[in-house]
Amino acid sequence: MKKNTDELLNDYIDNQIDGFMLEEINERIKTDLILLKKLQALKTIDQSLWHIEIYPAPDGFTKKIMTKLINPSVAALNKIKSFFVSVVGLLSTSILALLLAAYLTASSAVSERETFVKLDSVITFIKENMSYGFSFVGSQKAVSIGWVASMILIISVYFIVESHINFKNKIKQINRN
Amino acid sequence: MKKMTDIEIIDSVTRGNTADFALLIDRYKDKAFSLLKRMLKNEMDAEEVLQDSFLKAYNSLKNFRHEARFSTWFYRIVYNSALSVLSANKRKIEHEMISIDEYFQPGIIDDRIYSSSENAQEYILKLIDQLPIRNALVTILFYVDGLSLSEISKVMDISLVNTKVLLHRSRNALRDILLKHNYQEEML
Repeated sequence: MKKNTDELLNDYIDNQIDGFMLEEINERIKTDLILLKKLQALKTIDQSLWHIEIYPAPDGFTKKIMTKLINPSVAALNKIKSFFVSVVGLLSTSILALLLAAYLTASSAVSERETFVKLDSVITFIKENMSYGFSFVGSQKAVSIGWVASMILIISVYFIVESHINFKNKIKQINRN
Repeated sequence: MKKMTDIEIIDSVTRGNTADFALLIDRYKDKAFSLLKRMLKNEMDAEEVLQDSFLKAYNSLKNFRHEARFSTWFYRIVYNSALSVLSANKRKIEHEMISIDEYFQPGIIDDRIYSSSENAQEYILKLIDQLPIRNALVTILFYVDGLSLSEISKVMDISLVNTKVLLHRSRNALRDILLKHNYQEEML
């Protein structure tokens, strides 16, 4: 019964009741103080809800979207730019680190001969590791790692394509509805 | 100058006047942002989802069939995009599964909001954000965005009866709190 009364009161404030039912509620309100209080409270709620605060979207929002729409290449370009900035930054840091290492090596060397000996040892070290690298590329281990990496790549691509298709289907379904 | 309707704007955009899409953005951005901010409880997420929603809407505009209103179609994109973010953030939505009677027990929060509110209206509006997500959404779509119950049911992909129940329960829950504090007499 409570639920029915609540439903009726909600329908009453939405003007969804007419005829006999409307008369009955009007009569009950005259005699039932609890019902009257509930109706008053519900009306208060209804009136207040029409004033729910609207939070404005951030400044420049429209312009941001329109830039992306009118010139999508700008957004893509920004991404590419930031990628290249990071790559160049990384390379510059590496070169600086190498130069610093070379400077420290040279400054710690007592004589010119010692400097050459140290440089020789660095070159030998690089050669050894390069040959290790080349032998690794030709090894069975590298082939296995390559296989695993390729599989991971293929699976990732599959999921990306799949989610794209799902998204397109969702949009189509929205349109159908 | 005559204000263009949504349909006229869409026709213009699909004919190639991309710049007219800005009119649609201006028309819906604030209300949709309010909805998202209340759903996601985070301004940055709300902005990101809103951007994403407008881009999706633009890219699918050619497929828009004029049977439904643009607002219904657009809010559905917004709602689904927000749900994806919520589930990705794993904040989803135990609230959705719980009825308002079980969930909406403001208790301490109610007392805090009550003491910090200067009047009944402010108090009620603050309580909206405490409603379970789906109840709050139905309420906002109905009162702020002016959607009918039938349109809201399409946006949220629930039955018309459920939509009506959600709205009524939200109002009843707020009403009971109002009665608890005898606020209705102050306002009327």
